[in-house]
Formats: sequence, structure tokens, C-alpha cells
Amino acid sequence: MMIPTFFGITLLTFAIGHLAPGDPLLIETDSPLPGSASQETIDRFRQAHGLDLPLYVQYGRWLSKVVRLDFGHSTQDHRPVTEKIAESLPKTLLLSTLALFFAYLVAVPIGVYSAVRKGWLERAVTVALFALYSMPSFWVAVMLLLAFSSGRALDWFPLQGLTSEGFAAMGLAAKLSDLAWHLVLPVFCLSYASLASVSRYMRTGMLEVIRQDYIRTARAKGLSERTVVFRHAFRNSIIPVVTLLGLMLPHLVGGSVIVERIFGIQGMGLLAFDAIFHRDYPMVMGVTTLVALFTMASVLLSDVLYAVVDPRIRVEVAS
Amino acid sequence: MSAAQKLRGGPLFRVWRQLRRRRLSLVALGVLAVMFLMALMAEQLASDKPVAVRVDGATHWFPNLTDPAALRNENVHRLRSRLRPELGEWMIEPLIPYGPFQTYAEQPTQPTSAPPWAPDGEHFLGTDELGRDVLARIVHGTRVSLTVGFVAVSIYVAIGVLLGALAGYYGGAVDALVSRVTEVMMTFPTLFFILAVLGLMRVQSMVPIMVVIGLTRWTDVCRLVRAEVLRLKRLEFVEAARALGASDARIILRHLLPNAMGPVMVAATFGVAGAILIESALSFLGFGVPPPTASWGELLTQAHRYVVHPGAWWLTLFPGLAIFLTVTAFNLAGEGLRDALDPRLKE
Repeated sequence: MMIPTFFGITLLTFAIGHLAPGDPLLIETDSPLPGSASQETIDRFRQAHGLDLPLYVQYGRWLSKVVRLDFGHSTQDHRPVTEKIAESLPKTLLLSTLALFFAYLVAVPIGVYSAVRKGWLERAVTVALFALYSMPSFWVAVMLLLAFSSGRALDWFPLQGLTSEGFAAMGLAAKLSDLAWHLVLPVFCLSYASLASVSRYMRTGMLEVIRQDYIRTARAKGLSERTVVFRHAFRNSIIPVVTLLGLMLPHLVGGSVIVERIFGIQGMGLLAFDAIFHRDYPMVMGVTTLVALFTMASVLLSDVLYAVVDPRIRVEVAS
Repeated sequence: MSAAQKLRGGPLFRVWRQLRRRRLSLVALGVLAVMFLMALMAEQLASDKPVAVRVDGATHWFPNLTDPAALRNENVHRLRSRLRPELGEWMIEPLIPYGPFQTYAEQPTQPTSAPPWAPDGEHFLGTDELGRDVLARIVHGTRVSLTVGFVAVSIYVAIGVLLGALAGYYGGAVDALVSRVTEVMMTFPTLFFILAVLGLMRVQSMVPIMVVIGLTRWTDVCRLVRAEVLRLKRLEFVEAARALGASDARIILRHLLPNAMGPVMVAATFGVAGAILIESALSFLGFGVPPPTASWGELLTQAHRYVVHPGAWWLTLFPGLAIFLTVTAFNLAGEGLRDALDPRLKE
């Protein structure tokens, strides 16, 4: 199943790379060749870069390089694409892992609570989550900057970047706290939307499970409400929420473009944005392929997680 | 049965009756109605030309729409000062006497500081960096948001329904192909993909934005329709239709799709909210509708630029609220529609 998807992904990326109006040569020749390049020079250039070959051969060549993780050189600064990605990937990973962690940490209890208890607080929480879900992250981000970083209202958090000046000279504890201080706003912006959707899923799952007969049996046995909710209902309703993990990654990556741009964090999102802005084709194709593969892996991961938390599936796979 | 009775018993009426019972859905529909009116009547609400004017012995109706040559160099403020009521001259002004493109150079008052200016009695929601009225730009921006939302969703509903119906009905190789393509599309982060396509193609206009959103977001609808068709095609009424000699096309179009439309409409309503969010995000990142077109996201870009000085909170708060209200209204409407179509979900 993964192999056709892989081909689809690379094919689509390759197609994006050839969306340029006209000839890729025209972009390539922006700097290295003068406008009055002779036909012969152009032909030689074409031949050197394999641009005279039919498209499917070009795709094959590109694919064979991709398999070896060679995406060529960025046209912005002529550094290898993989090197630039390797530099910015940790930052984005840090951001999205923290965002996911934070989202689940808050959302799961909220979801359980709003399914089990009824009352004004439950209703208020539901409304608040619904509202959060509809707020564009760039709006929230700019509002937060205005409130906490612009120096106009409260000057609590930094405006840009992940680290302060003189970060390298700090001790480990100082480094960590500096990083955490810079991470508060971006992680919040990245996580609140998933927070809302995870808790809604958790609530629905919980409501479905709690209506079933075995829950009534557990209650009839005289088990405490706590045991019923956490030992019996919770375990079964967490399953769909766990599988959500993989499907949320594409959204996080999309969101990181916005969040990293607003907070000036040199991660994958900003890298992609700059590459698109400067029409840096090798870079765009490299990032796109990697992000898609990453997502594919996370979908696979969520399938595995599914099997871990739900013994019924393990039995099916085994038999 | 009279036409009115027929209507009362019809499925649309049943949905409406369910919907009417939910106060929040009604509020949402009200907000959406206001938004639509704003989009339709943007020029009547905010324009630098009057709605109607009698000046220099001629009466002009709707110069804000027609932009007649005689009034090319006029605006509401200039007309106000040269109007002579004693000669029977009059003017109907739009609610907001500023157009979305009217910069400070064309405005009556010349303040001392550089724009953006904070809200005051003249500009209720302040101005942007060129001194353009924020309220006027929000009103005109409604048009972009709603158009992109509806057209993009129409495109992907069409694609999703077509592919989903084919995959569900024929199964086999068709299904396998469609499912693979769906999987590939779902692994691509949508916003990122749209950004890459629009950015690399270097096209900045509304049509490509709508088309690209439409071409990337059809996967949910496709999976919904496929699942519905798979479920429905085994039911007896489909078998009956086939026994009567109905063609595949007739079975799909007349029997299967109408029954699968409920969830699709719900998904489409949520989808409009999503498309509006994407459009505003694109505009925010500078890949949206080309300037000087008014768009909500574009105002927020400026807000980011002026976050420190002068801390232009009005550029942040109001366009953001417009996006938030519209998106929430569509989401609430979608929620209401889902409950109305599927009463089982209600407790």
C-alpha cells in the first residue's frame, strides 16, 4: 500500500516542479547565463542538466536521486537541499511534538470531563472549544504578539526566534529555560486547533462507549464511577483518538508555515515558505517530498498505535 | 395535494423544521445572511461615490456602481462641500463614505501623523498603512471570502461526488485507483501544497486560488460518497431499479446520489468555513488575491507588520473577528444541518 502512495507523492511533487510557466531553463539561467546566451550555450546547458530528455526519463532520474536522498542544491545559496533541511527539521519537530503533546495533555481530560459531567461548565467548555476551532492561527498569533510581546500591554514573551542573543554561552539550565520561554506562544498557536478537535473526538468517543451495555453492567456491579469511567469507558474510547495522531500531522505541518513565519523560527515551515517565495525548485521539491513521506510514515505509525491499543486488531493481524 | 402541502411534507421542510428548533443554528444563519448582504451590497455600504446625487443640473443614480465620467474626480467628501441645496441639489451617501481603495491622499482631512490611524469618529475601525478605511475594506473583503468559499467548495464537491460515486458503484479497479489517489492527496498537507502550486506558478488572482483549493480538498467528500454508495447499492430499491432496466447512470444519478446528499451537504458547509480560512491564510502569507483587492487576510499581514509600532490593534482585531465570525457561523450551520439531517444523533 505504501509503495503506490510513494510513487503518487513523488509524481505529484515532480509535477509541481514542472508547473513553471515556460521552461525551467528560464529560471535556471536567471543568474549563471547572460540574457544573450547563444543557442549553443543553451543547448549545452540543457544537455548538462538533462533537460533535453523526455519528461518520464527526467522523472526517473530525479526519483533515483530522491531514493538516495539527494535533492540537489538550493538555488538561493547553492547549499545542498538535504543539509538545509537537516538544519531546520529539528526545530519543526520540537515545535510539533510539543504542540501535539500539549494538545493531547489538555484535550483528553477535557473530552472525558465534558462527556461524563453535565452542567454549565461542560457547556461553556464545549462552546469555548468550538470557538477556538474557528479561530485562524495567524490571527491568534498576531493578537498574542500584540498582547504579550509588543511592549504595549504586557511584555512577557519574546517577539521572534527560538533563542536569545548569547544562547551559546548559556549553561544548560539557562538554555532550556530560554528555549521554553521562546516556545510558549508558538506552541500554543500550533496546538490550540488540534486541542479543540481532539477533545471533540474524545467526547464523542466517550459518549458512544458510555451508553453501551457493559458500562451499565459495570455500574450495576456497584463499581465506583471513577473505575467505570477510567478503567472501562476511557480505555475503549481512546482508540479513535490515538489514530487521529497520524492524521493531524499534515495540519501541523501546514500550520507550521504560518506559525514559523510569524514567530521568525527557522524551521521547515519557514524554509518551505522562503523556497516558494524565491522559486527555489529543488528546495520546494525536497521539502514537499520529505513532508509527504513524513506524513505517510505517521499514518503508518497511527495504524501501529491502533493495534497497540486495540487488542481486537492485533488478533486479526495475527490470524 | 396542494403545492403548499407538498412543500410542508418535503424533505427540505423537515430539515428546516429541525433547524428552526436550534437557537444557535438560527443565529448562525442570521450572521450568514448579514454576510451575504454585505457582499452583495458592498458598494452601497462603503464607497467613495454616493448612492445617488443631483449636482450640476444632472441626476446620477448609483455612481458608486457605474462610476460615470462626470463624477470621476469626485468623492462623497468633495461633493458634500460643493453641494448647493438652494439649487435643489441633493445626495444619498453610502453608510461609510470611504471606498476600499481610497488612500489618505484622496481624503478630506490631512492628519499630522503617518497612517495607520487608530479608530476615531471619521474611521470607525481605523485605517490601514495607506490610510484606507478598515471597515470599508472589511465590507468589500466579504465578497472575496464568500466567493472563494463557495466556488472552491462547489468545485471539490463536484469532483468528490463524481469520483466517490464511480468508486463506490463500480468497485474493483476503479475503486482501487480512486482510493490510491485519495490517499496520496490526503498525505499532502493541503495548505503547503496550495502554497507551493500558487507560489511556483506565480499567479495571483482569485480563479487559480479557488481551483487549487477545489483540486486538493475533495478527498473527504469522495470518501463520504463512496461509503454511502457502497452501503446503498446493496439495498433493495436499487435492485428494484435495476430489475426495471435502469441504466447505471440513472441508478447513480436518480437513486444513489440523492440519498447520499445529506452528509455531502454537511461536509460542504464545513468546507466553506475551511476554504475561507485557507483563503485568508494565503492572503496573510502574501499569496492571496492581488493588491489592491480588499481581503481579510491581507489586513492581518499589515497588522503583523505594525505589531510593535504603532501596535495597530485595530488592524488585528477587526479583520480577525470578521474571519472568526464567518467561519464560526458556517461551522455552526454545518453542525445544525448535521443534527437536522440525522435526528438519531440527538439525545
